[in-house]
Amino acid sequence: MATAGAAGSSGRTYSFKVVLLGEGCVGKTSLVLRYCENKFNDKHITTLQASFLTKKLNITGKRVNLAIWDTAGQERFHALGPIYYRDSNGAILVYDVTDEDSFQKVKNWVKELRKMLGNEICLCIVGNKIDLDKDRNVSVEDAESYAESVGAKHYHTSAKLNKGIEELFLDLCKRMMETAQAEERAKGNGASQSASSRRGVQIVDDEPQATPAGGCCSTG
Amino acid sequence: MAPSLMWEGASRARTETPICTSCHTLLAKLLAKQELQMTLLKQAVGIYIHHGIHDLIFNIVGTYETSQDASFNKITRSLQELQQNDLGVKPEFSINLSRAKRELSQLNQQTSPLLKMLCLRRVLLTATQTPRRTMNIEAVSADDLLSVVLYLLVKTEIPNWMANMSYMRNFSFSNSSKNELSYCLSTFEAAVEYINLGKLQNTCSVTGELSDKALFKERMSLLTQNMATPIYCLFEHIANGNEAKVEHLLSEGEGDEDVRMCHPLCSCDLCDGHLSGRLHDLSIVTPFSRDDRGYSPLHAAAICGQAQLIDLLVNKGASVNATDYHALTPLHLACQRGFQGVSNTHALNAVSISSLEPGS
Repeated sequence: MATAGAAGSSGRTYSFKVVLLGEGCVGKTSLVLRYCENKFNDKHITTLQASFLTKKLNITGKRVNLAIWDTAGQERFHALGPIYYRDSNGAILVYDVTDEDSFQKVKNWVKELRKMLGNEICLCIVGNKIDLDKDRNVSVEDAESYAESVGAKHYHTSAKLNKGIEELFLDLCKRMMETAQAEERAKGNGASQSASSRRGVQIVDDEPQATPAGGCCSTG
Repeated sequence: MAPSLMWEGASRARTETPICTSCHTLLAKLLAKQELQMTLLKQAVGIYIHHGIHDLIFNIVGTYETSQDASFNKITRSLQELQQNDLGVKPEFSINLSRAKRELSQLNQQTSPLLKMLCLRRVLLTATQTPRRTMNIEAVSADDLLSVVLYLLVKTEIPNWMANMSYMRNFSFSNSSKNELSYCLSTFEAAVEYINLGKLQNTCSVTGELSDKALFKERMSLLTQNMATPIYCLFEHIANGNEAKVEHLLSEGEGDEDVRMCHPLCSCDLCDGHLSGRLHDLSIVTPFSRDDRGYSPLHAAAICGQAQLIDLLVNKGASVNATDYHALTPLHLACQRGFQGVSNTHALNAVSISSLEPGS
């Protein structure tokens, strides 16, 4: 929390904001609840935690604070997207593998995000509910080739069976860290840092940073 | 500006001179360990300073946002009749809403952006908490949250939402843009934006009109035995906003008048009979016709929010000073219902002051 503003520019703690986008009832909430609380359809969860969740990770010795923002998925709220996804480092676009429409919605979101936030944002396209594979209406090849064409990664998950979710978030974190580090390096090369996005005091560590190797461990 | 420039200078100096590096690293390590304390300290200082200058700053922000606030309030006033289900509020939350409203009404007593945001967070928590174990509220999604906030925004009478929003957005110095508080703020922002976009007005004018019409029909059926009386037909056309039909019905009456009279000012028994008969004859409608509650067509148009019909009726000679049996003029009724479009028409505002005073 102390690293306000630009994410992870202290080099020690990264804080990333990830937005969840997708039509209603594709399982956004289940997905993120499963990840953060390891709960599925638990009735005793109180409130706000379901729409705003945090997760602390440790990846190759770097601390990462992940803030996951649920967004309003109903069609009538579509125009409010920018309020939710501004300043976000990553986006998880969820569709239901049994619902072709929800995949079309994902395509619309991708276009919008690329237009509004450019290439800095890491996109993940997620086909949820693979436990219902027999009713699948979106073909794996289509989804994966589309994801590749827009520079996103594609994942298959099932919140019900707890499949693929850890991998999804871990991959996303690593990609966001790479993006943040690339940004940092670019900033370091420049003569002056942009002060506009900074609020308050920032302590910049001068120790050279090791780029993340392959191995990593996630805690918590 | 000055402090940020100073830090800018300091950081540049640090990268250039290696002497400073070691002590800086030490400080960084120390600070990293004390991250939490540092955050708390920053927040405390922020609250302290903001409290001192709150009146000054908030007044300025309020002045900047006056016009925005006015238009926002105009919209929310016209939405007063919206009910929870119109907004898509889940029934599980309705039990919490009055407490949430109370929490939200505290907003203007908070004296710093952080306190205001904490207030918003309390509101959301109150609105969505489970009061008893028996009541199951499943995981609350952003959609649920947004509809609850929409309801609260419409129903809580805070006159300076835009000023509050802008104050929280621009003057919160120690708050990260990625934590829970800013999520709360974004949710409220989204709701304000949604109302400003006028999306609710559409649902309101549809559902509101429909419910009004239904109510109208219900009342009419209670009071009038014969559902097909011309005045009822006229009122129904007015409720539907059917301008052509209204004009047609009213001009039918006019046409008859000329034919039957000896001359326009004639007062012979026959013509008098015609005239008085016309006033009591239910088969003919004029702009002066009344129903069982004393409503004139103008009253009906005012109740249904049909601004475009007001001018038509007034041109046809309807009296803006006409009062119903509760001594209410059309202007009263329009204001009661919050139909600004109606109450702002020039024609209605020509009403004489004396007829606005009840009992006169």
